[in-house]
Amino acid sequence: MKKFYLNLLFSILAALVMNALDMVYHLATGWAVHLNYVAIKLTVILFTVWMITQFIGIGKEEGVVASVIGPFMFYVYYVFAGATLNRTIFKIDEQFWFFFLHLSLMLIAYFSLLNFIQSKSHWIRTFSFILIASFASIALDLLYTMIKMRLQGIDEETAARLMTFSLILIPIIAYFVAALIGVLIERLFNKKYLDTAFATILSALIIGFFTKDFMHAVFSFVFIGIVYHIIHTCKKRIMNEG
Amino acid sequence: MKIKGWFILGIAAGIIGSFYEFVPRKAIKSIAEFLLFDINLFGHRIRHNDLILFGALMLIISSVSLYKVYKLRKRKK
Repeated sequence: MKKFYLNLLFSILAALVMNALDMVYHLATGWAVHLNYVAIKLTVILFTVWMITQFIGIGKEEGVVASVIGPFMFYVYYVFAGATLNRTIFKIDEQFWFFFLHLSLMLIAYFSLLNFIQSKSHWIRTFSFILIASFASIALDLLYTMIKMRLQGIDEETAARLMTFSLILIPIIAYFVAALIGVLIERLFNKKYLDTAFATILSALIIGFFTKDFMHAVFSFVFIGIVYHIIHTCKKRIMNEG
Repeated sequence: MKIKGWFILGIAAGIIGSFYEFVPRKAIKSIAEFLLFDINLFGHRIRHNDLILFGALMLIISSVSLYKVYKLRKRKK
């Protein structure tokens, strides 16, 4: 059961970071991002990474195989599934070249996690930690934004139009700054959980101040808290096992 | 599970996954209508895209099983 829980946490982190990198790329380059496709992408990537981690293991070769199988199955899904968005209006990542983009993003996500857990270099571990913590929080934040739009009754096409890079710019900056300051605080005071406390409060303050959305600030506090908890649990257990 | 078990799982999941992924809906309907699972599950109607997702997940199980076979054979050598 412990192994299952650990592998699940590892897979959740890999899937979240990959999807966040993908969503940020799409929004920055003007491709549509909408809840249905993100949910499918998360499911396929999470299931692939979990299957490989649970039944084969964690390693470099496993990372490369997971990075090929996940995005390829996702591409296959895209080719055969029916359209849920009007593809004459919205640009969707269904072309074959996106397979290579998804593969590279998956490699970045998986190897950041692997380096964070296994690398002996302090700087590589710190850089990986900032990347994982900030992008996993960005993924949860974007999911929150899309689910909120769905609950408000906004239809899919309008929601896809509203999802722009300017909408996520503040959360991206907030999570990056929070993760960075968290790491610095940990280095300065060397106190357990102080980085989590600073990062959660700081991200909530930045988002609350710039968006003037209290609920968004509360959720950002929760998201970065969840992500930090997953990362620390994951690392502690892998270190204990290994 | 041993090599044989993983291999059988890989082939079986590959066949089921390919069936739902690549065979058109009309062809599945002409074989047997119940294969489309046209039912309500916890208030959610099973649509064509759900079957495609099921097919993709089965193909993932198949690929991982065959990769496991490769790893076990490599370890055996």
